[in-house]
Amino acid sequence: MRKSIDLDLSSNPDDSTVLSSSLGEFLDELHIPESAKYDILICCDEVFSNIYMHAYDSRRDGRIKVSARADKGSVTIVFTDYGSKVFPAGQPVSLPSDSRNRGGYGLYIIHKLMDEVRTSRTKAGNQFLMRKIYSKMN
Amino acid sequence: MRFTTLTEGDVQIIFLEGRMDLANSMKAESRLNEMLGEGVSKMIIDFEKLEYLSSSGLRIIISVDKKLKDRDGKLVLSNMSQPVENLFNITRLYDLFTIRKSLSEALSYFRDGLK
Repeated sequence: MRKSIDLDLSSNPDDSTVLSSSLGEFLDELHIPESAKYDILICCDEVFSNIYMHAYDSRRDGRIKVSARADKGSVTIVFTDYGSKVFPAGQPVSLPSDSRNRGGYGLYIIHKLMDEVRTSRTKAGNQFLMRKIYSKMN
Repeated sequence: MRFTTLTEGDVQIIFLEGRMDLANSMKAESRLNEMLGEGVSKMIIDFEKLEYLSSSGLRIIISVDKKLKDRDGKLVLSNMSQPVENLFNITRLYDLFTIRKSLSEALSYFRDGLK
């Protein structure tokens, strides 16, 4: 059973499917609860979408590195991109009142479904870290 | 992701199967917009075989609902799996859509006169 995976993707939206299938296989190997698996896959798609749309301004030739690591009942996923902007990790207190018309769900969903969210901007790129605890027994 | 359709009278039924991630959401959006361009006004989107829906998929469902309302049409959602229902709940969208537990109940909604 693998304890970690590393993916080197492009910002082409087609690679979001490579991400979900590769990460899905990895999570299946860990035998984590289905609900936790889908929470992770949904949030990873949110981060990929944000990097594509905001960090790379919908360019498809950007680079997105993803690493996922399992450790003591949790999974930590780190996204690294080299785009011009980093989207904030601050937790929205509530959904914006007009979000039904213009979107704005991504970060809200991530904070609802994940246990830890952090971002950083360094010379090595923008990093977005998420952690999901799926078992308090291990 | 598989995207299949079935026409029942004047109701267009869309079956989504697999994972609705960013790439698949963009493909589904294109197909749905084609249907809307053909004048569809009554639509059911069935989630029975959809593993999960990301917010990119959610935005498309919202967009289709709005476009149908603008033409006095109607969107009904059916057979939500737990991950899909969970997403509608945490975004507080569940009560804003017409949702039925099964496809037959969704069809009844239209057949019984939009009750």
